[in-house]
Amino acid sequence: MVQSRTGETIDGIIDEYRGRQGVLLHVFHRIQAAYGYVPQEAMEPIAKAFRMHPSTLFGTLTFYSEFRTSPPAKVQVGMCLGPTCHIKGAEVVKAILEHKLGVHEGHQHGYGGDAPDFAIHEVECAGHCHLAPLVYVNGEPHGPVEIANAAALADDARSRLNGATA
Amino acid sequence: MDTFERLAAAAAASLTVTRTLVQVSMGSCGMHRGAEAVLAALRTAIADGLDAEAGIVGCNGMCWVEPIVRITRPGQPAIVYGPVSAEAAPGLLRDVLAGNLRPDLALGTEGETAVDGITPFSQKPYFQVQRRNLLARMGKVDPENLDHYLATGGYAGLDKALSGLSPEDIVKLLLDGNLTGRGGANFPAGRKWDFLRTARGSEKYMVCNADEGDPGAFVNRILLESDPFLLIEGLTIGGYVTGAPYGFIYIRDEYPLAVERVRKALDAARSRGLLGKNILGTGFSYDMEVVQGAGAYVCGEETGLISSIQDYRGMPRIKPPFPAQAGVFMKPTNVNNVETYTYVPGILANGPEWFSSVGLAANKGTKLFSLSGRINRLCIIEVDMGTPIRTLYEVCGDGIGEGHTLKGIQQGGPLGGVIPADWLDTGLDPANFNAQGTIMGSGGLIFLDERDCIVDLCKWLTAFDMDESCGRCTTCRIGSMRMVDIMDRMTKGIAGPEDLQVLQHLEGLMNNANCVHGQFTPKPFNAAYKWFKAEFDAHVFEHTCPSGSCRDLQEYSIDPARATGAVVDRLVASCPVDAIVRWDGSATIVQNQCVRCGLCKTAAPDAVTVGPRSEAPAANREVRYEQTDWSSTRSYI
Repeated sequence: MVQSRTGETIDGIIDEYRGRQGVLLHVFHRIQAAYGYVPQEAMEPIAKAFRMHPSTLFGTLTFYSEFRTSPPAKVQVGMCLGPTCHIKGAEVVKAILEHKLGVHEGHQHGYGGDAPDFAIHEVECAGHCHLAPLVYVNGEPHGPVEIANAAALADDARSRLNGATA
Repeated sequence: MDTFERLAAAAAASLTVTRTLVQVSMGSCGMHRGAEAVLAALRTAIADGLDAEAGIVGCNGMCWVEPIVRITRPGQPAIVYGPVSAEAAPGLLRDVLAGNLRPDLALGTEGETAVDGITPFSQKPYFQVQRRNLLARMGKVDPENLDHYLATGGYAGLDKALSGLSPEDIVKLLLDGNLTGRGGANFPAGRKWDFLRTARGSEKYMVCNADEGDPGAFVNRILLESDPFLLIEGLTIGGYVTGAPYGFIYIRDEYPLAVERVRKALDAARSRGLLGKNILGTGFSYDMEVVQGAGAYVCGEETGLISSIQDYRGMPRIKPPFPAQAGVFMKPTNVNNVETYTYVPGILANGPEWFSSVGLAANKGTKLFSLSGRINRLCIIEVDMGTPIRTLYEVCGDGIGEGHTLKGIQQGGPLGGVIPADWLDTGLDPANFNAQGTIMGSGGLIFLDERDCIVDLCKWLTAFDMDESCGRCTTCRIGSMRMVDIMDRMTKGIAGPEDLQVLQHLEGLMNNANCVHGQFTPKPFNAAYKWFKAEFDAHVFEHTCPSGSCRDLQEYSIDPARATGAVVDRLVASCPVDAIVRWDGSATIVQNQCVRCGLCKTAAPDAVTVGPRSEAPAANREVRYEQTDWSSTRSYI
């Protein structure tokens, strides 16, 4: 299992919320903030602390698209696929990024594993339509990404990977 | 314990400027455009000797000119500038300090008279058509500073409620004002609160639905990010009226800044005795917390939201029982939209006439709208109910790009509809929309022009609904999938006229879904088919897209006679997906790899031709209805 980035441990986070109802989303958010994803090792202590069946817990965890069950990619590309981005050509930008980075859009399924180099995932529309089509690279907004600039953005994302491993 | 008067008196001076004050608009729209860098540049310039103070301010709704900088000189009205880049900001501040007000960069002044050729906002058409009841503080106060809120009349509503009004009086005030739910259902808020007030038991909850998931609608974002105390005051009054001791604000995960700001605001309110035990020394106690969603659109449905708060999947359930009988933890609960709650403090402080004197007979007050799509100015505005769409389109949004014509407007989110351009003179009144079988929704208006294909947009909207279906009822889960399949075939030119019939059948079928998500999924198709029938017909009868935006109906090909020598190199280099390969002294396009981005056409316009697709593409799923062999289906009847 990966190290906690913030120094918080799973047990520490659970203890803060122990005995309360309606806190599962808080717990998952805190664990994901600390570890980058919700590791399988967290499930049993959570289930015990909140007296929930592990399958119910897993159902809640995987219902929400924001929670990950495996480590996040080294370079994460978030694509806004809202209606304004869509009509301004986000689908083509996505296809170009997918080809250039060699990954398909979507979350990695299953538990654990090593962090992949790249991941492209969909970001819900948050109303930043003046930047449409909007692409986030490691959370940093880039936009408008015209079709002609998509390949350059993919190169930029690739250079971040090289920078991260060097 | 401080009384309200003492708090307000202590805060009154907080807005007085003694030294030139420069503030950067820190909504998430500004931060996406580099507002943090602007603030850092200004702070560096001030540390290097400029005589000014730096601060932040909320977003004022003019998202198209971010980053916005607001400068107030002592004793002068504030002047608002935008867009101001991080490189230009220190120079702007230096000029203003030297007495040059830089009218070239200014958007307007908040004063009543023009200064150095800078027009007051009150004389700008953009502001003249608006009535800023909820947005009164936007862009003028620091959203993280409780003193600013108190100094601009904040908490006067709560004080009035706690110092003499009974819960029944307040319910009556809300009913007199006829405040209706702003989320789309338009149910009177006073009646809803009265249900909870009269519900049995002392364990009750107030819930604020800030899970604004409609793509293209972001009106709640500005309220949460730029005036969080207003919502907190509204919810606190709700707690007093209904007797609920606790509240939840469910904010969607995509608004991290809103989550942070509301949490900070809750702490600030608690530390000043405006939240928690014994509020303002009156013995009334109420508290609330923020629940951060995790990316599920269907949690915007009230029973889904309640399920999400209590640790389960955010799946809606069948009503009744209604939340007023069994909500959070099976206790009576009231769920309202952000806009509904934020209206309450104003109604209490200014009287119900303040709210009900504007708008329409049936739907009073003002409503927030967000304009996006092809519109020139992306903005958030507040207008009277019943204002014609044309006012928003022409005055606030400044129309669409030159040389293009408005085709339609997508309203009400993915469960709303598409209305044609000749609705421009129709008033924004929920009744007008309901009469035509669609909804006005929560305030997102996406403007479309002749480049946008309605069938493709409908496919996108229905695909969004399919992705976000919770999966509990088969009607919604499979029905939405079938709708997307059919529309996918339409955009690929392999659908037939029978497909339109199937879509219409599905519409009746999906009315049986458990919740509004499934019931309203066919709404965009309904509305679009009603007004854009010709476009659907072109897709199913002629397999063409009149707007030319369905890329799967196009085919790019290279003319070998014209593509020779250096042109081939240019073509091969231009393709971002490596679909152009050298072939027999020229080049050719590998069709199943081509994404039809058109970059090769830009690189060598003479050598590339665009025409209709020569070969039918593969469908997502190969099953066709007329090919289904029903004879093997066993009957259970």
